[in-house]
Amino acid sequence: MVFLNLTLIPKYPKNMRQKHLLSIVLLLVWLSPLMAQTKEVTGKVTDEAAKDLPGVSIVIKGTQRGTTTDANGVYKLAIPEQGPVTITFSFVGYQSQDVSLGGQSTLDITMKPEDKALSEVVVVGYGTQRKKDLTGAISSIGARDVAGRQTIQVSDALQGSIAGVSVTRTSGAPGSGSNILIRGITTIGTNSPLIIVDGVPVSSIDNVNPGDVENITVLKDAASASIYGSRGAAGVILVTTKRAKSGQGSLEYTYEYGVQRATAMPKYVGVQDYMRYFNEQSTNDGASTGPFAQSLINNYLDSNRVSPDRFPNTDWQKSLITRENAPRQRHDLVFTMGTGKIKTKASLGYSSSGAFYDNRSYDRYLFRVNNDLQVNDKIGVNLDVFYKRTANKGNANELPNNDFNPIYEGRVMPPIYDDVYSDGRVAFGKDGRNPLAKLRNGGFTRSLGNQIGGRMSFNYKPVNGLTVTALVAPVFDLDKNKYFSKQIRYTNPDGTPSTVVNQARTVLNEGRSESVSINGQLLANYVKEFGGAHTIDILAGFEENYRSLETLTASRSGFALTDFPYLNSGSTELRDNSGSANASGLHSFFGRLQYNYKSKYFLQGNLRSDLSSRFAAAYRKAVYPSVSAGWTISEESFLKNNPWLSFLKVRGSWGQAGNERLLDKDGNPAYYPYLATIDFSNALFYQNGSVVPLTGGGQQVYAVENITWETSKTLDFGLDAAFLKDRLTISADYYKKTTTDILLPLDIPLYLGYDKPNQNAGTLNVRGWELEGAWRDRVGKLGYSIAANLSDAKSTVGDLKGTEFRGDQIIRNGSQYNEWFGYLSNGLFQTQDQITGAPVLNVTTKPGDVRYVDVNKDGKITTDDKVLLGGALPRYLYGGNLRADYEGFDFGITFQGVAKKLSRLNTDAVQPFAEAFGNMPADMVGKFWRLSNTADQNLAATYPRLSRTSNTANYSLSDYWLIKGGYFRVKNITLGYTLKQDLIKKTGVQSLRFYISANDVLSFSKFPKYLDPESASYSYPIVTTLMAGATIRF
Amino acid sequence: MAVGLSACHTLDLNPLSEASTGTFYSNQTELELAVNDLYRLAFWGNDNELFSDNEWHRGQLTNAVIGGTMNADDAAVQTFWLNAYKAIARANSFLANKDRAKANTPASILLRLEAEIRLIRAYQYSRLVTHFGDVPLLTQPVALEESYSIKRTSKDEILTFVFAELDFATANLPSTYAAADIKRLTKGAALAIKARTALYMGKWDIARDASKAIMALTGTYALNASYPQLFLRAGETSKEMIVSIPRDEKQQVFSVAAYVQDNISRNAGGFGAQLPTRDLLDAYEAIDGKPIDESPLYDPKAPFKNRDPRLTANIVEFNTQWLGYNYTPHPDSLLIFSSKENKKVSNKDTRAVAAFASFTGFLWKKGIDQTWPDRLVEDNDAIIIRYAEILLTYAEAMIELGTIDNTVLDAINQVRARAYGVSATDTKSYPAVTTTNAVALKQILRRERRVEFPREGLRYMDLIRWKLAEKILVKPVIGLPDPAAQSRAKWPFPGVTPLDDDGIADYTGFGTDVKVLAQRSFDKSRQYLWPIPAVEKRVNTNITQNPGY
Repeated sequence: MVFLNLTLIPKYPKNMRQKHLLSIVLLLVWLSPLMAQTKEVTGKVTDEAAKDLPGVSIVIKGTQRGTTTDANGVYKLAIPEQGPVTITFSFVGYQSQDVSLGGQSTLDITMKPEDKALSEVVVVGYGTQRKKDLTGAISSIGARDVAGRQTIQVSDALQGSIAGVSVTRTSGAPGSGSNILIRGITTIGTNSPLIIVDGVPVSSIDNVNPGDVENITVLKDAASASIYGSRGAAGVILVTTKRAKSGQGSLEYTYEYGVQRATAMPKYVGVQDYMRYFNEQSTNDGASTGPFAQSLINNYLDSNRVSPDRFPNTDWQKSLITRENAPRQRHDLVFTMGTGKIKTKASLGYSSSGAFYDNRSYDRYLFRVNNDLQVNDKIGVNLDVFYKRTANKGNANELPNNDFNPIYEGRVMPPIYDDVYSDGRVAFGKDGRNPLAKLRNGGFTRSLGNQIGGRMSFNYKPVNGLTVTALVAPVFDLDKNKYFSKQIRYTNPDGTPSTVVNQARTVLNEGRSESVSINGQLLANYVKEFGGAHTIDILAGFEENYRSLETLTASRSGFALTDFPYLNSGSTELRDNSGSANASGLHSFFGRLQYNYKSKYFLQGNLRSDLSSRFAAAYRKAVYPSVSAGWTISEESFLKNNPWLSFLKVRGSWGQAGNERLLDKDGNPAYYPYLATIDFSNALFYQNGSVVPLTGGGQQVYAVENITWETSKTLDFGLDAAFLKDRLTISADYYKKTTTDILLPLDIPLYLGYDKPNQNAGTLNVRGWELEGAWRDRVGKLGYSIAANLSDAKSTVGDLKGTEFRGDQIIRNGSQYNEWFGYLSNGLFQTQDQITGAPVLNVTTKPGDVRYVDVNKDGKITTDDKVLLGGALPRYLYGGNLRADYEGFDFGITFQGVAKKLSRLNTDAVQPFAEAFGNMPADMVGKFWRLSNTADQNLAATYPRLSRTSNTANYSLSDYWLIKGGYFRVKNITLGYTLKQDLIKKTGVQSLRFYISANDVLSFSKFPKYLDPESASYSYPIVTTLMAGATIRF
Repeated sequence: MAVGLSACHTLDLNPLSEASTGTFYSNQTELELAVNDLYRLAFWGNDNELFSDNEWHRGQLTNAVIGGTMNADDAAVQTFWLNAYKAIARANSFLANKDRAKANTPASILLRLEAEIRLIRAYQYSRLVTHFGDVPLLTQPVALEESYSIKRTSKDEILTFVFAELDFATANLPSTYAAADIKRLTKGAALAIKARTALYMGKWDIARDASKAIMALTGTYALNASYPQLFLRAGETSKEMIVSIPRDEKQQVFSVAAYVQDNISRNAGGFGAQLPTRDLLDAYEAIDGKPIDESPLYDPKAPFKNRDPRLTANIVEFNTQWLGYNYTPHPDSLLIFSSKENKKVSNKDTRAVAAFASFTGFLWKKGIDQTWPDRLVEDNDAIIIRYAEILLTYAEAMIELGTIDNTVLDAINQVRARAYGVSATDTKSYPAVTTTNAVALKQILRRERRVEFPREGLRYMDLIRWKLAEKILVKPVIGLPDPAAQSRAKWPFPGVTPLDDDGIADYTGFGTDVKVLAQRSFDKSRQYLWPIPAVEKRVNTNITQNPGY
């Protein structure tokens, strides 16, 4: 741990001093022309639509002398009287132009937009490449595709935007993000890709403000990802943040306000139906009558009118979900300043989202400063600092484990329990369980995350073509949380104190954690062109990662007073604390060799060697090679001047990447999987007649000492083409990925007596393809583009050492990854005759229960009759967008979908009486099997009979509960208008843009209307967000 | 910076907050840690009372045992199995590695720790064979690769092993510990587990000898003078306890509020959901020692009067103050007096007021102390084996062996007399057993076990080993009629419940004067043994399944 050379951490005063110094230098630059013999050239710079371009950088080639255009696009430049002069015009997003100056004193220039399609530069592992030179499967999207999606989290913006990248989410809760998978499943431990921001690995893509993203590149094949070695198997996402460019200077402020609405909400039956059906369940299970008397049910609504406190009728969803519209807002302030030697981009973003119910919110501050300092011709420095603060607030026990979930409570609580008495005091609900009382008086949870990080890199160019880079990037996480859950004392309806309380004691838990992660890199890059035909590009590097974490928690319960959420107020007898720590490290050497002949034939090779602390010394090292090649056919003479085909390249790659990011049995990162660790416990004994605690120790998890890397090999063939002057671009890939030594916590015999460890278990095969296409053009003042992508990946488990059964899904030889595993059903039993002698799961099977198929024909239904029922992962993912701009208007629409998926119907929509007392989904009414139905009605029944005894059997996973889960969704629609500059210029404002936007507007699927296709059971609803905002730019 | 980069941190990182097996078991402290770990409740316990006819839960209605829905994916079965094997694996690991500490641990302590851990391992196998029959027998650490070829060992072979291990523990554990020492497992514990295992498996002579040996440990064990106090805090250090696992709220070992609330009255802030059954109530004799359908002292209008005192010790008597409130489920008692609030309050324990008040009409009293409503915490010690069980085990073994003598009567009478708070010799003060008729004694003994041990988790295995589950666990759960349907003239019970020779109550004659709450089901073709968890067969095809699953 020697990285922390404090002088490397940027300090503002020093930075400011440098700025002063540099302005003096600039002054000198400005003055110097006066001393030589000069003449003046003036002109105006516009874009293709004849719009003035302010801030264009104009430099006399080969010198430091230059200027920029003013707000009207006009410039003045002093040039030497003598000799030929070439002036370079450059501006972000436009092609640079070199113009040789003749004798003229005026020079008007029209800048052409950068030919984005193929000449743009994309970020690759430890470097950049021109897009047309790529030989691997790499996709990238720009700032507009990220920030334009109007999401709080970057991960949400990726949904549907890149072929082969699958983004899933199950909830729209404040602050929630999405899971990202690249090219299907790779392994079990961590299938999430490695995220690299500006060259440095980070824990989450959501640490970055969407507005700060310049572009996102996804390395999909192993040849591209193998330079990241043991962390590259699940793909790599490279995020580049925006940096200031020379000649830029602006201050931009954006405010946006939005409201979120649930896309779907299940409905539940009313109070009389609830009691009726509950009674029916009781009698179905053998009771002579149900708990609710018929007269009570019949008179209930009248009784409720007369005495609502004794005969409550509560719509719990309404009671808890007090807002149909949850607010969301965003402020972004961006300062950009780029001069010759100092370029600074600073952004401060704040966003907050509220929830449908009280006391739940997410607040985030993101601060980032990216500095580029050119010390001299040979030395450049990047100095970045970022700070993130997130505050997740919720009700008592709502976070982090979701032990209290108001959405769940609203759906479970039946109407017979009271939320508030008629005089407004909170009632005791179901024997002290009153979620509304918890919202109002139950306490809170709060977790605060502070992340401070920096990145400093030195670029040194000692000789032409050689760049040496040294980089160090420390990130500190200081998190704290507080979970305060208060006892609530209720009163009886008559106002007297009640014996009912919601929980025995008031409990306070506090936690602190501190983690440090440090990334250091040393890179050498040499680029050389020989004889105008051969280009080589060599990279060699060393990288080191180290992280450590320390946590501390303390708690007390038994608070005499419930308004002081500090440990001191709790009982000294009822207290507890704990702490833990871990560390991990990775050392890596890597290299890359690229060669191309006349930009026609490309060859690339990568090699990386990793050493990880997670494995035993003997199994620690891994080497990942890759090769790739490309042939730009369109450079060949027979195609070179083809009028409609502007670009055609075929490429192929093969490579290896690995995975070391194991998880333990609880889903936390496993840092010492090869060691048999002893977990401590607490056992009680008597001594001198009283109880004393003694520490116990036992090995929980079986240790596989020779556990090592898993390796995935990908073979990829791709094609990139552009037609009609690059207006139409197409890219296609086909790949075959084989993961060997896949790390899975296979089921081990329980009689071994340990929790299952990760093992190098076997092989996983993934085959897939990806298609991306785009069309962009400009017709007069109308510019427009259409882009679409489609991809598929199918994961099949190859030769596996065993099985991993995960609830209702399984991983075993020949199955898909996490394939549904359960019974085959054959409708519902209709009569006792059908049951007599038929194979059944239990002796209690009755008409109205699900009939299962005796697959192994042994005359009974047992767990041996469970079969593979189909893949649970989404297939045929697609997405796309349409964009247009006309005069000051801009319009965009983005869509996304899944063509094929086998989904299980959510519990909250199809199962009655959760927890044995809960409410019943309204959708079941008239659709379940009943003794009182006619035979025909029962034949048409979609739900089994109401029965507690048969509940487990009927709702066991079978194909009965699986539906086609494909969907199509409009992700975002945005309409914006930018005010013409002429109108506002005088006020010093460069531009002013207003926009309205909507996310997750509508969807189509086979799901019932009250179910969102992406939502999980009882989870916070997926939301539609409607937003309006404005950006002002000075 | 380059200098910084070249000076790497090490990659040989060890866990920072845990120990690892590579270095464990190397001294006395670490050996003790390993043994202590196995004194936790996860590795000890009797069966769930809800698996029997003594108790029923209103909300859960049913469980896999009394619902007849047991199958190889049953989560409770898997947990039971896994926890037993976790203890076995840790014991095997201890035994294989304990000699690392040989040099620095006194031999006597090493031997005692070995005896403790072998006892705990034997206890796990005892629980496994009594529930599953044949199971894999592992006596040393097994590598994962070897584990796939393991087969089930016959229960007789395992039983032989278990008895030998318990003999070793008996020989090497002390009878008692000094007060200042940590109270760990004893000679008596080893014998008691042996006696119970033998009884469950029908090895009557072994059961007799082991229980006799405990009875011979003069001064070590005795029945607690008070039956009700035994299950409260006062009884936790009683001489009656042979094996019990301490629990204590301050040490974070307790059952949570929901469990407490299920068991206490609604007036006191509970749910009245986990209930004694009507047939348990009817199993208690009248004070003349006769069953209710034979005794002239029994009056269905006053069912708590003239009954074995254990009835009112275990089940809350109607119209008595309970947890600060008068307890009565009578449908017309809409207000009751509360001694806690010193006034009349609405009676939430009658279904006329609260629809979910006790469905059977009864509440547990046994083991519930007056602090529960305030603390909502249950931290009573878990009683695994107490001396009364040994006395009745001795008696049952002797009866089954056909060697009925005065020691049998004395053993039974000691338990009965204590219920009345008198000495066994004071035969005028309690209904002493005098018959030596084997059939009659067997009935008495079985009834004695039921009324002595409810809520202690022993009834399930009794029903299984007596093969009564197929007769009893198919009877409905009986409750009080709904308030509207309750004939006030027939309060609380419409008549004397007929009982058969097995003590099975028959409520069919009462029509709608009783309410059927739920139907029990028991699949006799398979349920006498539990299913081997499905995962075992999926992982290792050499593992066979019990019939019917």
